[in-house]
Amino acid sequence: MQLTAATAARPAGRRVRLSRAGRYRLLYAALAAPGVLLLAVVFVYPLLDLMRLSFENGSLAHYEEVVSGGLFGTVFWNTVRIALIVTIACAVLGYPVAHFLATASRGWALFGLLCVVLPFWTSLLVRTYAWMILLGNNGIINKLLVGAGLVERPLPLLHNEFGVLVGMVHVLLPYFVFPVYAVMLRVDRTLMAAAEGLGAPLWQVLRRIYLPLTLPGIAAGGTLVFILSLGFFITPALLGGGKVMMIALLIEQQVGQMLNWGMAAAMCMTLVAAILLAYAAFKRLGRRNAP
Amino acid sequence: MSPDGGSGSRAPILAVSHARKTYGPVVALEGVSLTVGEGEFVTLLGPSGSGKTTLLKAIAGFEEIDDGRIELAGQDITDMPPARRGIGMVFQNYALFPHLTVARNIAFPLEMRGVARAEIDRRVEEILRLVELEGYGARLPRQLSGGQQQRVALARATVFNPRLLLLDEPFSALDRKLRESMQVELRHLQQRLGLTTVFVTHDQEEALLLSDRIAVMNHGRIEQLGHPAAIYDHPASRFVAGFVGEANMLRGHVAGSRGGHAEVALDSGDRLAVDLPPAARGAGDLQLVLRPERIRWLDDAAQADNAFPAVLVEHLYLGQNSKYRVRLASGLELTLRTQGEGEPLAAGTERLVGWDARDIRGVPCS
Ligand SMILES: Nc1ncnc2c1ncn2[C@@H]1O[C@H](COP(=O)(O)OP(=O)(O)OP(=O)(O)O)[C@@H](O)[C@H]1O
Ligand SMILES: [Mg+2]
Repeated sequence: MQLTAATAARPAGRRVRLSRAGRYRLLYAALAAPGVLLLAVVFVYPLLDLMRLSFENGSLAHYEEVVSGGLFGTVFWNTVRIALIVTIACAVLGYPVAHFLATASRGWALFGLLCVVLPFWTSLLVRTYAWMILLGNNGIINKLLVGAGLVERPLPLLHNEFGVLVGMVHVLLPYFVFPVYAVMLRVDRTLMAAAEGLGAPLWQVLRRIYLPLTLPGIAAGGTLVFILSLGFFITPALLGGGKVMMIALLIEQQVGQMLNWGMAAAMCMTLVAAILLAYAAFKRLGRRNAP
Repeated sequence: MSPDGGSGSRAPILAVSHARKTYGPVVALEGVSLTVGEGEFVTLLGPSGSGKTTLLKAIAGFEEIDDGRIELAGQDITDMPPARRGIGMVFQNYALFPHLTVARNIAFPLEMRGVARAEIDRRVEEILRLVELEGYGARLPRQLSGGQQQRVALARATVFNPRLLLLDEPFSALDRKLRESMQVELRHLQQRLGLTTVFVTHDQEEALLLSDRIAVMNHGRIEQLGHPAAIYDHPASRFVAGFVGEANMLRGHVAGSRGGHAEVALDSGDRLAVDLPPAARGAGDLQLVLRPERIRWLDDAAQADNAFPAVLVEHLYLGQNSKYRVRLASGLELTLRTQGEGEPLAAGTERLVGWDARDIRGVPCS
């Protein structure tokens, strides 16, 4: 009986009104529209404009220069290398932090979260200057070391790759910790107990069970850190003191000093391509091992 | 047979003595002692929060006990890490590794023991056949039904020939039919492999069906430990009598003797002939347990040691049996159970009910 009623009602229904799901889709689209529009104006349009600039006069000249020019290649691989080191350092330092946050008692977890979040909320510029104060030749660390007689002359901590790495890891660590923490919260603790009960020593529990189960978080955090590292500007600029070259600095140089917009645009597009590639690679890693 | 129906001639594999465990102010285990013999199936039965899981975790090593001692095959394992205990455990939610296939899940304990690859494959195949999951090895746990996951968990916990198998309410998530068939399967597997087993449930029927012995737990203590029939027929406390099976609980005191039996005056005023052990005769207050299936309809007061006229309050038809509530002249209400459909009696019907002196049990007053 219901069947006949439904069949009878259908032609009328199809003519006048959208299905329930259809109406919701319309509503969601309307709600998303302002955000999408903003992104289109402030991001997509400039990006397209950059792309146009990079193909000045419809030629690939800038790209040829980017690819063949020794400087860009060197800086590009240097950037990738630094980004990789930063990502690995964040993973090694951040994974235990995330585990601590996910398993500690309420009080400790709150305290730990604050420790991670507070710097995250502080201005990037302020934190970078803070590192300059800490790492400089007359900085706190060197003063302590020299004062204690551990070293004769101040250690070169600032204006070199070491300083840049320290600053970048510090700034980017929360970006690794949060996604991993979120995944760890959802991992069933009895799985680890079960593995242990079945005879697995702790390192095997970690290797066989916990790491694979938290890999989606590692992939997400790693993607964020790596991609943000590729385009990092302020921290390498200030802590590197002009001695550590990264792509963002090179691009700024092209625009600010050489006024070579076409060249800068081509470099930007190459960077964007590298970022998309890195993203796809991490995505694959995360998906293949997803539980 | 020892009073607790002890592990008898079987060599004890597991011996827990005076185990105590607190969580802050909560006492989860209060001096629990338990021995389990080789190949024996012991069930921990008790209401929620009685400490069953805590005891199981203590045996498996996932919780440290504050006091007491746990021995496995004569060896003190109180402080041994779980990985070295060689105990198989089936968790209530199965705890299958979601990222590993069924075969890899089952292979896990063997891999951890360094068993050779070929031997692992052979044993995984063998146990898959045993739990009737041949051909399922390549699936992921989430691609299995609840009952199948249950069997994988059982296979994983038994494939390495554990010295002891622990199961924490393994069937509570299954529907009734599947639960019943899994109960039978578990019992077969357990007997076939000769597995010493500690099983946790709060389902008294399940406990009575499966166990060699039952430990009834309440408030972190074992209230009674014994064979299923002993638990049912000779409950050691009011709690056990009420928790295992249905019971009419009566209170009274010894008021004399009648025809070789003790005569008990109930608080309701009724007087009963009861078989009491000599020790209980002198006691003051008595707690009596009368199982509903022990009460019968009578045609004549001479047919039983105790006979009372009663009025039917209600009749419940339960399929395989019928339950009646009747009220005696004193106002005392009793539950009576008969096999089969039973007579369809209308409320208000007057009948004679009765039982013999040996049908009623005394338990210590508390
Ligand atoms: N991790 C814990 N922290 C604090 N209290 C706990 C913890 N685990 C158990 N308890 C308490 O210990 C007591 C015994 O718990 P347990 O889990 O052993 O009960 P159970 O008999 O298994 O109950 P159920 O049938 O509900 O599973 C309960 O009062 C419980 O609240
Ligand atoms: Mg429990």
